[in-house]
Amino acid sequence: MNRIADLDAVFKVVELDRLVHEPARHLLLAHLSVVEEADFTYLLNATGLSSGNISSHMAKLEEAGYVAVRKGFSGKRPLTTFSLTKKGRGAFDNYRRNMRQIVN
Amino acid sequence: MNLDRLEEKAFGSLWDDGLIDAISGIGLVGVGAMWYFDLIQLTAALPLILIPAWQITRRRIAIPRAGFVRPSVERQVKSSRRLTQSLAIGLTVLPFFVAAIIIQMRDGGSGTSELLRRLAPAIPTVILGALLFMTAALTGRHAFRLYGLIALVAAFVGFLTGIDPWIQIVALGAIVTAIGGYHVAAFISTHPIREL
Repeated sequence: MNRIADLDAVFKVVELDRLVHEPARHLLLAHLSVVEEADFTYLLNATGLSSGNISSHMAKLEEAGYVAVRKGFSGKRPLTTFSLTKKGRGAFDNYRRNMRQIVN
Repeated sequence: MNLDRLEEKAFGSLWDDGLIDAISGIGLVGVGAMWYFDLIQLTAALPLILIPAWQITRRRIAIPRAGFVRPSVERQVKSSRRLTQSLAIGLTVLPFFVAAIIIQMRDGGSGTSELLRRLAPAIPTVILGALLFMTAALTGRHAFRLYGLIALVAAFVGFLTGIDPWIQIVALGAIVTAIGGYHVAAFISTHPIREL
């Protein structure tokens, strides 16, 4: 019986979305999941990640369709904001649900 | 990872720069000054100046340093519900505010009891204190609870000594502006503008 439960957990781990599982990307998605949108500077301050790190992870998340990028201006300063797409929110919620099941 | 805490932190980042404190303080000094010059009806126009002032200073000072964040839809709904509740409470206490002004303007407060006459100079500051407590509830910024307490102390002093309301309000505003200014200075020194 325990072996079956263990196997079930293994399958759950295999099912985990690798894109969301990576710690830095998970952190970025977590921050975006609780707001409507946030800009680069906010994510830099809130996550403590480097700008290079954020740029590369955001590019991957955007490519996967998890994050939408909007470029605009705040006064004369360029303002790039990020928001979670429906697909991204679904992937993030699904990941958390799977993780909770594994942990429990 | 606790998402509720992340959300609270994100919402709190809208007020952590101290600008809302400094501008509220300036607004309070303005209310006191208008009271002194018998232009109390003009205080209704203050939000029309203060809210854009907060938005402009936030865009110039806070966003380049701390970044921009738009709260979640749930938070926006919650905030507007709280704002509606605060407005309802505000409208309920407004008659007391008007009564206090009328009593103050009447010489000697004829026709009113002695206690009410003595309470009158304190009522406007108590009401402003209530507004400061409401702001604390609305924004989650704890400093506003302290300002609310300072308002109550100022009102109590006003009740004991009969000091004019405008003096209480200006003193309260000056304290809030000073604390807010200190927060803004601390924010600027700890959040340099990063070139991205």
